[in-house]
Amino acid sequence: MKWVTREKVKVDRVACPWLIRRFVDPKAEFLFVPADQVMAVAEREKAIPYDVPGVEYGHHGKECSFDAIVNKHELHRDPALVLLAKIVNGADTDNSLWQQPESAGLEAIAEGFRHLGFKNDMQQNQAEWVVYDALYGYCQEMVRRGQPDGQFRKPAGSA
Amino acid sequence: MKWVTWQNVGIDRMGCAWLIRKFIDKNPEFIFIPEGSTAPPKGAEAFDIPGARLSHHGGHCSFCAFLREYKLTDPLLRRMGRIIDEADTVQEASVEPSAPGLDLICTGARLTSPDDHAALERGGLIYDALYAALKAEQEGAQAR
Repeated sequence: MKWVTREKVKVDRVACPWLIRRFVDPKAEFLFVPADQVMAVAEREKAIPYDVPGVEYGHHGKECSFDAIVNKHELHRDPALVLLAKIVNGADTDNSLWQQPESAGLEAIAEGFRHLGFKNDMQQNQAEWVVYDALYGYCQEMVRRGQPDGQFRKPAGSA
Repeated sequence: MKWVTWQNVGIDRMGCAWLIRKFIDKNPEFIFIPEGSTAPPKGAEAFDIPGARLSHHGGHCSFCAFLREYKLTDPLLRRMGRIIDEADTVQEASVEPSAPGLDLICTGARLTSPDDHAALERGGLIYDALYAALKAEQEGAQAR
């Protein structure tokens, strides 16, 4: 399938393609277009629009597009992806949903990748996916250690 | 030249290796010895190994030791040192919110790399991004 979203990606529009390629659609093709052309391109190319207003794979309340894909494809059965989704959500939003301590660092790295001189959004995506592989590896390790909320979160009820 | 450190690199040593490659030695060779080993090979400069010149001193990370020993005064590098300090050492105050996230990304980069050499490559890209983000933030602050 083709998937289309807004150009000039940062957090959600790198995390979602990573998630789609790894867990939803290994042959996915990604298109990045100006914001006002996403729906027209989606119709013309028979592509799935994501991370734009008013679509299924978009923001809903405090949940971001990454959450929408995780929920729709029942990926929350993987506790490591549940933790990863919380970190991504915090980096892509005001982090008021989960207050995930690791999110600020991801947001900084995501912002940095926009300034590394990649030719286009797809190249930036492909280079940056190692960050999400790393995050997922960390989340799997935390789950193995019995810390499914991450290493930096204090247990509920502690100061 | 040759640089030696313990196996299983993390946030501090990924930062040190990035710093070496960018600012100190254009053609470094990294050697990894078992954790706990105190016998680095001859002719190699040890870093982030307890007791070495380029290691933790005064409660600060090895990255900070490099900044001091090689007189690197770029304020953005100092800022990176502060972030690594908060992630890798015990600090009285936390003023850098990106420290936990950077720490986990570096930890994950090692976990998902086949060996320490590959981990330093990935870490290098992560540090390129961190430096670019801090630079953009600084330029944004100046433009306001």
